[in-house]
Amino acid sequence: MSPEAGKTAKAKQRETLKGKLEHAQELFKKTGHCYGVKKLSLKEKDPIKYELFHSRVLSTVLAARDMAKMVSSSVMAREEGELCFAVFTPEGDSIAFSTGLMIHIGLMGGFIRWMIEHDYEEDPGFNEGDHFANNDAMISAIHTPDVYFVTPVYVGDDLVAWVGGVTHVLEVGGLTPGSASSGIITERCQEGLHVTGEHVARNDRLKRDYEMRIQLNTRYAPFWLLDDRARIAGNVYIRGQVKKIIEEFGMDYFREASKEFVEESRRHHTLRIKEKMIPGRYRSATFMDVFLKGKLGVLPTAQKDNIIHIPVEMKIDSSGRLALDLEGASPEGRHNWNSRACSLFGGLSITLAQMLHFDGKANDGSLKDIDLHAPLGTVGNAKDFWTADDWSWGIIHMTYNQVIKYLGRAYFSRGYVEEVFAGGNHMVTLEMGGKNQHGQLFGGCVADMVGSGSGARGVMDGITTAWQIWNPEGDQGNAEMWELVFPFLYLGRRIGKDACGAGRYRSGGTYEMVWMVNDSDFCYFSQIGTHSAFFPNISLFGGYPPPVGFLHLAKDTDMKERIDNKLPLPYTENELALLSGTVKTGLDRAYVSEPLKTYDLVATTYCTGGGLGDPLDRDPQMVSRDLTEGFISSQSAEQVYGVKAFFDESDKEWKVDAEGTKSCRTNKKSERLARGIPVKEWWKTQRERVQSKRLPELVLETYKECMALSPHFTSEFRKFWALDETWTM
Amino acid sequence: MPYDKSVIKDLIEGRLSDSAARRIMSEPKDEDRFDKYLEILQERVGWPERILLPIGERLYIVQKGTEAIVKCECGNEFGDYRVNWKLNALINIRDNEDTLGEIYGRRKPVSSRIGLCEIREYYCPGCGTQLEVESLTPGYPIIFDFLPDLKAFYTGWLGRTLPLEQPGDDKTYETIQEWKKG
Repeated sequence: MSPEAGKTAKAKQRETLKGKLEHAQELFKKTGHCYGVKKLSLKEKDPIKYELFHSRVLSTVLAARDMAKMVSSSVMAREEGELCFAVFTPEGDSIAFSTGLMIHIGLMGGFIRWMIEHDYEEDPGFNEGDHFANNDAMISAIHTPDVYFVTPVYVGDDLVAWVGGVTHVLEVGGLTPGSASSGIITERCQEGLHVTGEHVARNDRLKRDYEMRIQLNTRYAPFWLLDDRARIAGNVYIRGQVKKIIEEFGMDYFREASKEFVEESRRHHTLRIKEKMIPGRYRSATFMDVFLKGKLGVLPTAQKDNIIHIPVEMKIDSSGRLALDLEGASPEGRHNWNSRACSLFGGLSITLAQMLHFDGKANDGSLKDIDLHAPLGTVGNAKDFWTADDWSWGIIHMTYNQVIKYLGRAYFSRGYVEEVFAGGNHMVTLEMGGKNQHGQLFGGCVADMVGSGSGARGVMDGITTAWQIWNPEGDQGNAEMWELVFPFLYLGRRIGKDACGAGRYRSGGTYEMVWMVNDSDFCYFSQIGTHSAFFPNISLFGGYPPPVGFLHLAKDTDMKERIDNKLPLPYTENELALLSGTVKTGLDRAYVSEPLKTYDLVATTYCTGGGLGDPLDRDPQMVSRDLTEGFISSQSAEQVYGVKAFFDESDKEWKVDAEGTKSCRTNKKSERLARGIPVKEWWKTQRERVQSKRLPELVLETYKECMALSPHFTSEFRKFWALDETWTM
Repeated sequence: MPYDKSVIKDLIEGRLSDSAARRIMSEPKDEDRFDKYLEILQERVGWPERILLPIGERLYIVQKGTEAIVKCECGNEFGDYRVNWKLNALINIRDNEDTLGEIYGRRKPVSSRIGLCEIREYYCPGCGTQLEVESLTPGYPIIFDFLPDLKAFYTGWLGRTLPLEQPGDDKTYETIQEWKKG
């Protein structure tokens, strides 16, 4: 009898990938250990070999990223490093991933599992040299520009691993040109080209029909197609290296060590929680404005102003298990601030990998013991097929900036104050398109304002600039390369004045950027909105949130005359006032500009993180340094920080008037005690206001929408305001 | 590896150089940090109650008899730690161009839609320190930022006794109900 004939149906099924995946899931469910690994035997037996093995795999994916950057034409890949590579077990758990766009690691694994669960092993089949692509969050992704290619690794007939890469493509054929969404995208069909679990390459070569689809459906195909080649190059390199590593360490070792990495990461997560945090309940909420009424280009179905509400409750129980709950969040809507459940989970991984786990082996295992609940049909877990989820990043920022705050509270209480961050920040890109300086139709984006300031830290100010937790956009690379690719010139990039989250420790700086359109007679811009009406609720211990930010445009101005005659030019948003012509300032960012041309200007500011601690406790010498370095004005020094200072003409710096400051601060504290009212008194007057619904219409509408979906939020609201059970909004 | 208490004191008081602080960030965490931290903070405060957990720059959960309360560094007591301490603070609201402009003055406009978002400042009634700030829609319930599970932390994680008699559940709404009555 042949060996095949002797196998039971169950045994045969278990040899399939689907069987392996199901078996792994069963083992975890039954034992609470990844792959049922209860003992890290290989690690215990020879820890040096174990770590060496991991280092080999990790260095491979790091090298692949650096190499792939050079294959892509995209400034996003080459200059900004907006890509990432990883190795996965056959079941789709990552075991090592590179730096870069790390949010995608769990999501790429999710894509692998989706293919397995949907019988791709049978049709189209998995062969060496095949690459499968996805950018669709309905399967497992963040948004359209972030395209995954995953490829199987075979030794003989055995699929022993997967390799995957992701890049951020600069132009995706959406409603507005560029990559990340603009604020006016409100439906799925406007998000650009979806590549939905597709077999796109055979024998490591892109299929012709796939290439044609990209050529004819995006404004500037080289960005996409060269990124595809970069991913293939990276995947092929890693695949080759993985085979060498298997030869060196042996197949059995590769298999078993991979499983141990995932299990080790799972244990590590709980160890970190118990080492650094405090069990209990953490709460916060934050809001975002998405104003679409009357906006050019917004469909009639979406002509509405929205307030997005994200409440986040985090619980850590006595066993160290972490649970996050977005109960009470706004319903999904006809705008771009929606996330699928998978994308929200991706945000969890990028946050905890950097704020809690801190370990080179942080992989999918570190997320196995976390409960994340976002109610179905809300912005954190959109269910409607037609909902635009392209700016899931917005929901991720809102949610995980609160989690960063919670981690900060825990670290502070535990004593690890150096690890505290007063919130992250939001990303804002500038999307653009039209005709480039070579006369070609183009689309693209710049993201340098993403690399802005961080929240204040527990022991020092926030990182001034070039910081970003969500992706590698803290490092923009060379401005000249961006100017080479896009029809604009950088005029100014400054830290904004009076634009930090104030506190004993202030946040890092806010960016102000000014660009001039150059060599194009047709170029238009859009942005995803962020904070024009809501100060993000991300400060800690008495610090302030950062200010809001806007988009500004200037067209048909006297820029050419100014340049020709060497007159002052605008380098900051305030300096746009120098110009004659049409200058529009203070535009909230759900906006697409009318077409601009050479000498027209675009300017934007960006929000930074929050402040920490009472500003009146800030060291006056730090305030005078802020004055000298241009972070704050003398009015803010006095009004916000209670510091009296004078400019020393001979030393050319601001100096503190110590007696004046002492007196100013004493007065300010007295003023607080005089104007502050007991919360009980405030509660009574506000309760009447809430009961009679004397609140802004849009706020009432927001509460009503959230309450309709969440009896829990309704109950908490009623309980706080001591309202009847029958009271409704 | 453990650090000298003086190093931890310099760290939390912001006197370490940036590079020294970054070295501490990069290294494995010292296991005795919590104890040293509490010692340093206890030496700082002018009152005798034992600090159980710091929860803000000047805010502490302390043991008072067999109960735990929230107390400011200045000595002002906010009551049972299971009731949101903010309910016993002073509040100031910034929700218009003028009052928001005092904080974000130079930047115009200060907001695209004044009135949708209010900044709430919570002051200690004893010393006037600004202890927390919220940025929320008008009418939004005051947020109870952090309710620690002291029992799980002390007895479970640290392996120590905690001589408190209160169970750990949230008592905020009991206070609210009292307010409703008058």
